Amino acid sequence: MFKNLLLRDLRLAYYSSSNFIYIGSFFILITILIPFVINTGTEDFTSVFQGLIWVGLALSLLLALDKIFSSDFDDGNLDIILRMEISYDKIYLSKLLSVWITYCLPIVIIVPLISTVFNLTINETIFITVNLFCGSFGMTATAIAINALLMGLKRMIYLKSIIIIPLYIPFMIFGVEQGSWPVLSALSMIAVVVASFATSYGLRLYGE
Amino acid sequence: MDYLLAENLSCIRGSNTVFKNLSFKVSRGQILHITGTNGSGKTSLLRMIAGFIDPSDGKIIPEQNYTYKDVHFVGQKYALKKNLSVEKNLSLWSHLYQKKINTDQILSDLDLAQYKNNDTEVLSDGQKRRLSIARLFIHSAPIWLLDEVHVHLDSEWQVKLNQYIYNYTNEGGMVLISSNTKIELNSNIDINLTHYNV
Repeated sequence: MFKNLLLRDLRLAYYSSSNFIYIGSFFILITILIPFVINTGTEDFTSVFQGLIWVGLALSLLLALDKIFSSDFDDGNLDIILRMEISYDKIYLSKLLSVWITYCLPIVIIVPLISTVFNLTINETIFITVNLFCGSFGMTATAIAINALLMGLKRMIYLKSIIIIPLYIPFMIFGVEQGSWPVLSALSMIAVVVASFATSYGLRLYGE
Repeated sequence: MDYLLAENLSCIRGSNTVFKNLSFKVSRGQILHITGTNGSGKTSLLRMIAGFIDPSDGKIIPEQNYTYKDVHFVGQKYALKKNLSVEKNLSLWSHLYQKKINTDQILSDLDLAQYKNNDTEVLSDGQKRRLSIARLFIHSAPIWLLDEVHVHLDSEWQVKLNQYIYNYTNEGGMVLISSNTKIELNSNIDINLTHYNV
């Protein structure tokens, strides 16, 4: 059942406009356009890029805010999902994987490809990609938990954004530091565990 | 499961008591028709039986051997993705229910074959309702909980839906259906929730 829900969510992402190509294009545009408006030398592009990828990741996840649970809640599909033979924890895990694959994996793949444009060495590219990989799970889990808790609030995407962005700050602070992947992994693990409880609670509240 | 028994059910939403001391028994092969005015608690009762809401008081029996997976809840929402085609929506449901489906056959039965590749947002409300009923044929469960599913259907399709319900109960299924308009349904038990409002 877990596999079916995961495949269904991935298929839905593929069918809808939030598919992998859109997210990848969105991220590339952000990383390419912002240096145009920042008055800095070529040598500073490296540090700008390191910050930009985290902003790009955060913005990509914000794009997902009206998709995770909320669209299924609005159209009634959540009624079907919650009456299937699957626990809340597995629903959460399935969402975590599907959202990560849809919104984070394209970025993790693109970053090494475009890092040469920003004069990054191979070592720096590896550090950034590993940091991104480790931190993105925690950021995804945070987005899922907030959505599960607030899915009943119509047109509250701005409120969700305001709640979520401060929670991303620790990931961004450590994300730009080379070799901070153990800290990011720890943060992600904490976020994934806390988010599983928050998501289960949000889904239980759903009927009310 | 041979029967579903509700004993002194009460539903309190916020500070309002929606209904109180509601008891009934439905057996296999029977139809329970729930009527009542707007806000009398029809949807709340069905969502309570489906397990989305806990009873404020009273209980639903059997408490054992009854899981919420035994119910097939078709609510007022169509459960359709409006920017996806009719065929893709059916495909998503088949993934959720883990059932292989014959899309052409289902759409033909529902007189929707010509809309197979159209986005569901171009369908009329009646056509969307017909498509949402397709879920009943994709997945089987011992209990159907149907919340105002006759709404938007024309008289011909209301009769067809009733026939689907009769066929299902003749095969041993149990149906709890709500409506706030007059529908020509030969039910075994009728409950007017307005009488249980406080």
